[in-house]
Amino acid sequence: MQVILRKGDSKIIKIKCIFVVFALVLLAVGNIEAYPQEQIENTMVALSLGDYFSASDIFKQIYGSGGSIYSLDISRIILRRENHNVALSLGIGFFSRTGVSTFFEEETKFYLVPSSISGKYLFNTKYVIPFVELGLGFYSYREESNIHDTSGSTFAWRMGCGTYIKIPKLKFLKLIVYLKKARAIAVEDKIEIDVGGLELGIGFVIGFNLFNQIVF
Amino acid sequence: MRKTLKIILLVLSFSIIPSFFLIGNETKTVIKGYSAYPVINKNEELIFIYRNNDRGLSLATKKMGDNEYNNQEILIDQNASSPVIKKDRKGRIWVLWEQGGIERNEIYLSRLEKNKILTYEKISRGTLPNFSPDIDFDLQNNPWVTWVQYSDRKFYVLVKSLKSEETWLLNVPFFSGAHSPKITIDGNNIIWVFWVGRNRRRDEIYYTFYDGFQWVSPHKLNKDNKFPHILPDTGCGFSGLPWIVWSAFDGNDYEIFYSFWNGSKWSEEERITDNSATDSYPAISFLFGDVPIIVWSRSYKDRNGIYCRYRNDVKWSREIEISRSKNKLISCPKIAILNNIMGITWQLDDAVQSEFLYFNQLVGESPHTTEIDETKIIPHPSLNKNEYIGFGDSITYGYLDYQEAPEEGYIPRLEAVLNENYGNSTVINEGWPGEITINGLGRIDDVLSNHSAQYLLLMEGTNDVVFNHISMDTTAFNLEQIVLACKDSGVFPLLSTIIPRNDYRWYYDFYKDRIFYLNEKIRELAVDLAVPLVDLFDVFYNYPEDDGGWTSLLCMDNVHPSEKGYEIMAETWFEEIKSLPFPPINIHVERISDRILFYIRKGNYITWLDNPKLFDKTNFSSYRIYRSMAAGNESEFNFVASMPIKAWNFGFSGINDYGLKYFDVGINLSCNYKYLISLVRDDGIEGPCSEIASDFTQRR
Repeated sequence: MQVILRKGDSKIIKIKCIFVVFALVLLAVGNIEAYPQEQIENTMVALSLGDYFSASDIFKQIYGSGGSIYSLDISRIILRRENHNVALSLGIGFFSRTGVSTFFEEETKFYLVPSSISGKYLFNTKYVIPFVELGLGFYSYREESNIHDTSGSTFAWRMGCGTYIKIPKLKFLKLIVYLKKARAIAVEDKIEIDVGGLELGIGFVIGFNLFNQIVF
Repeated sequence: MRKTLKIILLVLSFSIIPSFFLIGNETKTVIKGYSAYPVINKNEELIFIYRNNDRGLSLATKKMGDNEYNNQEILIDQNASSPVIKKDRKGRIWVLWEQGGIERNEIYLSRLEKNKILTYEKISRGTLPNFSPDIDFDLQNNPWVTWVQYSDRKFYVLVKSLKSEETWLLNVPFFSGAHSPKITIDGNNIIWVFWVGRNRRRDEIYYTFYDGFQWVSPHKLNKDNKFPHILPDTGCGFSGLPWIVWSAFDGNDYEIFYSFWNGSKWSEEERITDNSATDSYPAISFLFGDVPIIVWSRSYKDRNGIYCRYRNDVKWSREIEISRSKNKLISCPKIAILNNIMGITWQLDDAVQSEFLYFNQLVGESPHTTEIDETKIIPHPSLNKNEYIGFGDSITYGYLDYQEAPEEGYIPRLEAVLNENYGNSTVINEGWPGEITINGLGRIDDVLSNHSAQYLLLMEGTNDVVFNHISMDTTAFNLEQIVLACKDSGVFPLLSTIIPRNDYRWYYDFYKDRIFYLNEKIRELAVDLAVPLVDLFDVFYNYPEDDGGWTSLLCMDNVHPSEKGYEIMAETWFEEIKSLPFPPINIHVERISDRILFYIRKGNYITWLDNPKLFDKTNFSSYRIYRSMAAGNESEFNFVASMPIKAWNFGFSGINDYGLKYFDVGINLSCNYKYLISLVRDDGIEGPCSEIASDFTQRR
């Protein structure tokens, strides 16, 4: 099968590199300042907008390399030791894309609603809170066209990293930058597609304390 | 408290768990149930819904060639009945049914997802009995549902748009009876509803339609009102015009009648059965999108059966027997079609029966089909597309002022015009002076085999007029046989009326009437045989007086044309030739696959170009595509599809909507195929077929 490399593909690689460098710098800054910090809120709700890059070559051929994904993520710190925090995180997103069939270019639409539960480790520093996460996802998808309609769901592995960025004088508000990778194999009529992919996003976070007694 | 919670959980688990585990699949060879309604899904599986013996609904599926059904209950113990299953314009499957009891029946609608009912919506409202639902989808793919509501001994035909949520009452003021409402939405997005209603003492077929603003008041469709008219079914083909079939008593027994909307009015009702048996429960669908096919059940003494007829152009096929049963009640056939695949279900005593087959199998297997099969075409690639035969008597041969003058006749004049417009063309003179049609019929086979011309221009009968012992009906019959001989040989005939004469016979009513009568028969023949008509009589007879009138077109013998007359003949023949449906050229076939993320469709992609000989491309309606397996009987091509030239619905964007292309997905991917394409005029006349193209070489 011929895979057409699109303009966006090289852009993704560039963005990835910039992101990794940026994360390393933030981590480095965090480590320098690594003495007990003021505790972060035990609950954080993040709303973010990201780019979703499918892992599937055929997806890229039909729908292009990526598109916008809207996400909502709720993280709850369940374990805290000085600057080290462990949180449980629930997330849901929405992604849609319009494409064309490979030969006749008939219009087709793809919808993806990825939801996830994951464990998250956060390291609290003076300016940033870098984190890594690992979790399970449940991906619902739907493809609509005059040719055929398909809908279904599949389970996924997800891992990610990123950082919360503190905003001086606005303790309850933070920014978040993240990179997530998912593998979600969907099988329909013997056709196997990885509807997972790379998600790179930015958003804002509202933090607050709720039921402090649950934090161990 | 804890105990109460436990009890609630226990009750919940008993009520919910069975609904997850009982709705399972099983394989069956015999389906016990009632009211089956079929549909064919995109994977070319026959699916039919039916009422099972457990007061629920079940779904049976099977693939072509399978003897067993994959059976599953989709609605358990809900007192459900009258299920209807239909596809919307995107191919998604919907299910509609009645549910409840005698006092209060409700109508429900649901999408079928992976052969399961997930959520469903109540269509009817209130506490009254509702029954006999039917559904169709408008061009925007919004569902419309019709049903009957019964209240205070009155029957109300209701229709509801699920988009606007509006409900209308249709059968005002005929409330004394209403049954079997059927809905169909035509190519202009007009919503038609038909039902069996009663004004006086008999059931009759009523209809109304919604033109986008309002429902018109109910009209009666059948002409007769002495006998009952019952059991309607309706549908629309690619042409976008609605058809209706029903069963009516004709004074002796029930017969099947049909009518169709021709764009401005309903056609005269016509019957497709005429016998001493009871023919009832008709159902209609459309083969290849535009060939109506009607199935119905027949009972006669102890013999019962399911029969069908299909109609190509204006001719109905002979009856085809689909199933026969002795001493068992057989009834309620329903039909679903996907391209050339047919799924038919019917009731046999307490079981549901089905037939799932290709249309060709149906025609091929039936000993009852003796009609010429117009879904097949035999190519004659050796015919010369630039060669024409002029066939007839002395007027064709060329006769001027009592002398043979072939060089002055219309043949050389027409050849010159053709050469000028189409390049190198030949018109062969096969006129025989003094010949009558019996002689013409006797030599036509020789003429056809001696030449390789693609077209034959037939004008004969002038001599028959003066032979009193030959009726003009026989002359017309002979002409018909000549035309049929041409068609059998792959030669495309053009038929002409005979020209007026100004000898003494013209002034005898007997001969004059024979001329007019024969010409009328020739005009009818052209329509019946779907061949182009060249009305030379009209052209001559209406020749302007200022230019000398029609008599000036005849030579001194007042029977044969003058030089001017021959010139007019040549021009008139050419005018018709200009509008012939010349076959497409440059046919290209490519094996390709087109995919979206979760679906791959593979097939042969056929493209072609219009023949440069076409003068005015607005007079043509469609292309007809024929296919033959490369390894099969190479002389016979089967009809595959009709591709409209113009888009009648701008909302569609599918590859097979219209144009100079067709994507043939109904093939066995491991085989090679050959294709032929012909062009069809607005008046239904199909031209000769193109060169053969195959998918041998190109694959992608």
